Amino acid sequence: MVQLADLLQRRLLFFTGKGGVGKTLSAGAFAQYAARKGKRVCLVQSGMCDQMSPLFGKPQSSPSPTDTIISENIHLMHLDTNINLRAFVQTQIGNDRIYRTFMDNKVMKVFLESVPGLEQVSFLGHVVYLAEQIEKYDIVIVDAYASGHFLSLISTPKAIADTQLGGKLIGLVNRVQSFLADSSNSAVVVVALPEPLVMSETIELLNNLKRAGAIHCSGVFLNRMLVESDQSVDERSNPWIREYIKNRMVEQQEAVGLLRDALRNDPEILYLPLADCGYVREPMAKNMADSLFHVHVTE
Amino acid sequence: MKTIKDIIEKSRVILMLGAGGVGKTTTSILVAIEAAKLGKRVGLISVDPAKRLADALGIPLSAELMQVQLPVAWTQNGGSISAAMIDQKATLDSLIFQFTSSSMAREKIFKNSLYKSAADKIGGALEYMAIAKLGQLVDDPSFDLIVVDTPPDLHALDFLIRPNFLARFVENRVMRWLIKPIYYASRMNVRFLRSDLIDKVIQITGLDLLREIADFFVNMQDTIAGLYQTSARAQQVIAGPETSIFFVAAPSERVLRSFHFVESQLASLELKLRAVVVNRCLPQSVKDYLDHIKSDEDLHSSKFDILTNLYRRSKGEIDFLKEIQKAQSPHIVKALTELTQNPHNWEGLGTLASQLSSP
Repeated sequence: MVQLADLLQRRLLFFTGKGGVGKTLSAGAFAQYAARKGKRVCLVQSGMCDQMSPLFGKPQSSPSPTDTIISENIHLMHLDTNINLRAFVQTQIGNDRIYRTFMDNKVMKVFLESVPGLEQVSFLGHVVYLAEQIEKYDIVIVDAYASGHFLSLISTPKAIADTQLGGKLIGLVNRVQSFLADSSNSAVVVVALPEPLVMSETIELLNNLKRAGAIHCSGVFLNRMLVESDQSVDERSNPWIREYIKNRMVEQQEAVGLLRDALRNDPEILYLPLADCGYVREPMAKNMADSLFHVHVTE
Repeated sequence: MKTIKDIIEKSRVILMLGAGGVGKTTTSILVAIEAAKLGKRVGLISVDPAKRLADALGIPLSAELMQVQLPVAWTQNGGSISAAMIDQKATLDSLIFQFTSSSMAREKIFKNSLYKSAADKIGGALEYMAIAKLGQLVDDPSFDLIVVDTPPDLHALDFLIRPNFLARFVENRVMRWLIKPIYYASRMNVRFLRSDLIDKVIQITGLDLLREIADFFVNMQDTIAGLYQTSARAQQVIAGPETSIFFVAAPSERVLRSFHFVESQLASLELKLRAVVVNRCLPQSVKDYLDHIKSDEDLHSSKFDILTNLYRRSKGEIDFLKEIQKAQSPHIVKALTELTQNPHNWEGLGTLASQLSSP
């Protein structure tokens, strides 16, 4: 089984997986778990549409270069491309003047937006920078893109480093790449569902992640698992429900078998209950970590 | 146009938008099946890097359209489905062949270290490839309908905005001002005139990388211009009346948020949503049964058994459908009932396809 305490030792933890499997919920719940263990968490929401804040009962945020506190010890950072590039140039290269020179110049702006890989590198550069802020955060948790896009994202620094070119930017890219590749610093958790189609994509992603060697995969969270007692649903119940549960059980067994054979305990699997049905209602939101990880924290 | 069938009959292009994991690829196939049944020759483009369409239909990953073997009953009116799974590197290579006439320039691109290491790994480029493919197909008389299954994660709208971005690249003369001087200087091995701006760029990139980037863009200029033309054609078609935009959903709060987001994005692009397909709805008999055995208390309990879960789903679904229907845009809402079994075989897809086009 995946040891949650091990995951907590990392400075930078990504959550990925096929769309709709519960990445945001898992990342949010893990952030809550980490916060209750006394960690100062920076929770990163990538992409334009903020799906994280509502899980904590807060209104959706717009991308911004500053973080907001959404729960005790949890700072939400909602990033987008422009913010990353700006933060990247400011923090890694020197000052805001350089950035403004770029962005006030239309030619430069178009050029920068089109350099292959710069968007990915500046995003990763910025989250690595956040993870290095030891005095501010203990752990950075990234609710990252879905499978294919995540693989492109995480492989970009290595691809650029492999060009073996010189220069300041390449130096930075190398630093980002080694931070991500060091499994004591960084890791990724892959979230999946016990369904055959999701499983084939998940196994493909896990193989591709291994092959790419850009980041260590420290666990698979298998979400929405049915349990034994679900099988003993009343015989007189609705025929659709009986049929549905029976088929889901068969699929689940098949999917878990496929995953176990493919992984051989590397990485290990954590089974999560059917806590989430797309509607997060109280007390789910307040107690996501308990609900998902059955964790009883004694304070 | 009052039903999905009407829309399928009258459209030249159907664009499928939606968050990941809602059944977007499956719904694209359903639309293609219904069109084929009506006698249409359908081109189905999937830009999903996760290859789910191939999984479901047993077709190889290929940038070229390959005809899919359909059950005979569906092809009696002369319809067919040809599907393509866009692979980034292969599509980019083929575009370079199409647009770059000089074989020397082609060779330079393929040898460029940025291209070699990054062509198949750089994120975001897939959207360009898809729109280029749509641009190529849209005037092809061997197809009556093009169905485009867009990538997940709301990158989908990039897909609509990209041509503007390419236009900026072409029109802003980035080449003339910035890239060409560096390119020629490095080719001829002379010092180029360094401006403040170029000095700042070099501060960041280093000279080697800037040379390599310049080399890449100069050799790619024909491809970029060609890509711009096909993309502009695709964008023109997307904005026109012969294109219908679908939003694919499954009831959940997450999808509702992404629906509102997509709606506002479409409005800002002056595009209209024509239909929302809601997958995985519970049958009415199930909702009735659950109402009978469950209460409000269960909704807010921390019970995680399957019946409580289904009850939460059924209540959420009602709110979801209400919310989707009350939205401003005058689109059709079509709810599809979840099957008890995984629908990824021709029988399951056939059942759902009939549901989709029923009035």
